[in-house]
Amino acid sequence: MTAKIVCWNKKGESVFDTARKTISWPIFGVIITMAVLAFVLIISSYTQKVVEIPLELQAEIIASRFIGAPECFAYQDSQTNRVYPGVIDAQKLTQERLDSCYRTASEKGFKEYNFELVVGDQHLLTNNYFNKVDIDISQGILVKQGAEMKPTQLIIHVQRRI
Amino acid sequence: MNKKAVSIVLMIFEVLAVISIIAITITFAKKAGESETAVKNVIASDISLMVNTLLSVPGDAVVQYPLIEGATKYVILLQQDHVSVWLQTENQDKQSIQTFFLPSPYHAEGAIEAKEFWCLEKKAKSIILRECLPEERVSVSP
Repeated sequence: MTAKIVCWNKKGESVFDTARKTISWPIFGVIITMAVLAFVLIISSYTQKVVEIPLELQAEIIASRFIGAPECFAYQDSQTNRVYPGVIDAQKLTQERLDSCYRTASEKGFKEYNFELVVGDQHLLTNNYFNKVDIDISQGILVKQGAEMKPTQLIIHVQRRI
Repeated sequence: MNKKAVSIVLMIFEVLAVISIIAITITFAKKAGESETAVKNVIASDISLMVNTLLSVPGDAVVQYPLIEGATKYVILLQQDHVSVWLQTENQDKQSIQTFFLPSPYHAEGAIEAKEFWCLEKKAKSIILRECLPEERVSVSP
């Protein structure tokens, strides 16, 4: 048989009744606050995830300038000024041209999209590319060298952020 | 107060506490679900990608941003290397910013405030954000 010790106050209330409420409410408050915060964080991150634009789509849109813009590598007929998207001018395939076409901020540019372009054995890198490849994009292109048009593959290694 | 009265007061307090916790949770969830921040981020990303798309288009072009509900409450500012979006009713320090990088001869500019139809125009080496002209407007929502 075990002895049960119960303390009573002057009004005959158990001190454990009062103590139970006093202790349980702060604990309950902390747990509820944490649960509400967790709930808000989960919903916020879910909302962000739902509206996020896929990495591949963003990378392809940004990289489309390399073969579409005459300020980058796209061939432009000097007589008619017509631009040929998908046709790369071999004379434009230089590091200086890439630097003027796409250059991220020197300090925080590593947080942006950076690219390595591979055409044949030529490798061109944007200023904050550090060989961390997230995805690869491959596109069939034509390289114009003099009067000759040569079909080849442009491989773009994409670095999202470091 | 006798013991019975104390327990009734405590019970009422507990019920009120539970109701207020439920109300606070629902309010937070609703705010997070209808997050203006997410909408501002999406608008900024979309416009940045539209700028990138226009860069690869030979010649001039005009593109209208798809109609969105409550479009008139946003302020959008396009600058040389970024686009900022914020609500008219809030401070500019709550803006969403999306950066982009233009090839050297290009420049980007323009602003939209309390306008329903937003257009991005590529004209020679300029990219301009402005209200769509009446003949450019397409009234189909996505």
